[in-house]
Amino acid sequence: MWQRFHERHADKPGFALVGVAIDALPDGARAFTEQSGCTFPMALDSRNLLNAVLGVKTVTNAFLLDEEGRLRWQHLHGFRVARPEMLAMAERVVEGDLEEFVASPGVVQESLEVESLRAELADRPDDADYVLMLAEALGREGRDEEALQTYARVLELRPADSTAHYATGSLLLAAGRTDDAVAAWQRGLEVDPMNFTLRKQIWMVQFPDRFYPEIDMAFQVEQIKKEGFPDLSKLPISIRRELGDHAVDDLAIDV
Amino acid sequence: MAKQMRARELGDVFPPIKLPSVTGDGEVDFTSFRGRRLLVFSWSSW
Repeated sequence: MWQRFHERHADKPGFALVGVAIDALPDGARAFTEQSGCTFPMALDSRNLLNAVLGVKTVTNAFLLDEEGRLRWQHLHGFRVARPEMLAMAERVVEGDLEEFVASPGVVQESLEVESLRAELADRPDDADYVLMLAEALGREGRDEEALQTYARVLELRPADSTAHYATGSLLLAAGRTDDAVAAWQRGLEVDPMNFTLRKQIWMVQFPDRFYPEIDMAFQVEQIKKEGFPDLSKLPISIRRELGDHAVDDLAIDV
Repeated sequence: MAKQMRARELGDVFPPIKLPSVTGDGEVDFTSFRGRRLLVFSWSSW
């Protein structure tokens, strides 16, 4: 039925139809889709995101987004396009004047990932793992200032969190705050002195010509000797070998 | 993870959902339909 609906409206440039299969695994939905000769986009929602957005727990549902992406019509629980009155309703929302449905102002929503994490944190505001995930999600969206504040919260909860120290420095560096970046990485080293990655970040900023155009491994070895490193086993094997640590000869892979 | 998400109400801008295609050849990005009316239906094979 939906394929026929799509074919009837396929020539309308201002309309699109999308199906969403809410299935944990793709096999069943894929077979149904292929058998029906579906020519419109069919998505797989294995995480039940759509129902979470709509606030329902069941299928089948239908809804309409207007040209600006606002939710303008919905029929939740048991929408059946095969039933004439429901088909007529679908035709109306495609063809008709949407003002008859709703005209309330919309609210710009956060991304699903950020909002999901914020919702989770409402229950567990001091869970450093979730705060860290939120910071990373904000960073991926380019919301650097919010990400920085959120990483700061991670470090309040878990001062030795190397990931947060590393990311804080990286965000500060990207913002042109080089001294603050180095300070952030150094704070990380104070609580995690065996973090070689943090050390290397600092060296890269302080001695850029040792890392570009070529990485100077001998320099890194000299830095380790100069600064000291309490546990050589925490270093990359290539550095350990340069330091004459023959224990690495028994290790099969570099890290 | 989405258990306490606020359900969208009429008039709300829909969140920027991206879902994989059932056939595994790409994704369906809800925001890519801006400028058109988008009718969405959900179903399940089970």
